[in-house]
Amino acid sequence: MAAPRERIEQFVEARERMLIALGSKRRLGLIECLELRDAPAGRGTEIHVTMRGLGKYEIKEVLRRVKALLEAGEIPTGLRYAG
Amino acid sequence: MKAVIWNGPHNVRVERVKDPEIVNSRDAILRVTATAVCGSDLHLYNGFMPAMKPGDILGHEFMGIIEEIGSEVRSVRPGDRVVVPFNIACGNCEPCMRQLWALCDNSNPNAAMAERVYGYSCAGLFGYSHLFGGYSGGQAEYVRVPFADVGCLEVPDDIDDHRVLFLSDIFPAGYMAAENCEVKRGDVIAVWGCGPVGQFAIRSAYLLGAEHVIAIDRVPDRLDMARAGGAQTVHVDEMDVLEALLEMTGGRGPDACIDCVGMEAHGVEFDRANVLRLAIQACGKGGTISVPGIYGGFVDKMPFGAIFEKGLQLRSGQTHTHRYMRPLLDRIRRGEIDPSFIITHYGTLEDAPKYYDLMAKHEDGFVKSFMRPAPFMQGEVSKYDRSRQELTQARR
Repeated sequence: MAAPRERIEQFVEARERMLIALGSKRRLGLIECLELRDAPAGRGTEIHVTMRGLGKYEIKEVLRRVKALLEAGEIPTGLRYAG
Repeated sequence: MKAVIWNGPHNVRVERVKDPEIVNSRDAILRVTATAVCGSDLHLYNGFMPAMKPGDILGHEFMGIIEEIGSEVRSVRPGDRVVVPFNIACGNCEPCMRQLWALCDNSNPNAAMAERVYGYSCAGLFGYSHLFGGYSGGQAEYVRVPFADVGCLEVPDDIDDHRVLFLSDIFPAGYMAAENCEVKRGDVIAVWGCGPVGQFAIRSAYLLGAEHVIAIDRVPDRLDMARAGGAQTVHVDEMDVLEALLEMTGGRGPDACIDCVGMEAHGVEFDRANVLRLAIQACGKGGTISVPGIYGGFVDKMPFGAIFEKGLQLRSGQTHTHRYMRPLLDRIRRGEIDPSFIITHYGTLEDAPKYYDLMAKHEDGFVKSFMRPAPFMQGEVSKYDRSRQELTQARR
């Protein structure tokens, strides 16, 4: 993720946007382990997460949404209309 | 609004649909003033790209006037006249920061789907299937432009739409293809496919200093246009291409070969790659194979031995359009190139189904359309047509 570790820590702790990424409050309780590591050569931060009850692709989708919110500020959508 | 709708292979219609809205805070709504059918749209038209759905709006080459912006958009305002790149990029991820805009990590909402096919996803694309995000395209009266603060290039008032529209795709695509050849003084570049990207690759190779460009195709009108751009030409049905290239390069072979045809070269596989095979075979020692033509899936019987034994390098990928738009706009303003040479057909959105058909069949001398969603202004078509007729005369 192209963001420094402190920004990701704030994002996780603030919970509000983390909930958007997770898609539901229930999923917040499924996180068993969330570890941040500095990527090599200043290439941002790696997020390593273990979640109970979710498959590999679901977790990957959560991480993708976290990344989009942190980097782009929004979750992309191909929809043409709001709502 | 009116929009060009994909309803299945060879079934494209102009229909009325609901206007787009601002969905995310970095969106803009663009009133389209000019759009075009791209050669790569033919892959959708012919049913070669997966993940199209009936009702999808086509088109990834467009420009217009900003009508509305989201709360986070700072770099453009309503009323601005802009060209929009065909790929969508967030501007903040690592690939975007390295100017690899076509590889944006965040703009494809269906990245998981693309990852299963390609390992990693490329950026979202306008009007180019749900594999690339399911974004509606710009062959319409209005279009939603995500990450408008990154993609939109403001255009000076003194340049007509038909000279800048193609900054959205085909001019940067041809230019990047030529740039990937790392052209040096004395180099001979062979270009397969004299469609729109091929025409721009030819002219870009000369802009970058090529000694000669050899253009290869079977459509006479396109070969004429290539000759007007300074290329020597090879008609694939009239001569043996490999022998012709050997003869034209003094036995050395081209220093670089550009495949502007892609997956629909006439042959018999999923991605029909006979042009790519021929380009690899023809390329001289230590040369470069540059591939702007689109491949979507798997290619069989690739002569990798020829790549290895001749020490070739292979360069490819969707165009990093954002990187090239401003420098190429500067070249247009300096008079180094006028991209409107490519236009053979002027019309409105209603003409789109006819243009798809003409392009697919290579009929009526069709190379490129220029379409207005609204009717042309009085005298506009005749002005453009006059300049086209003058160009046609000059070519002959």
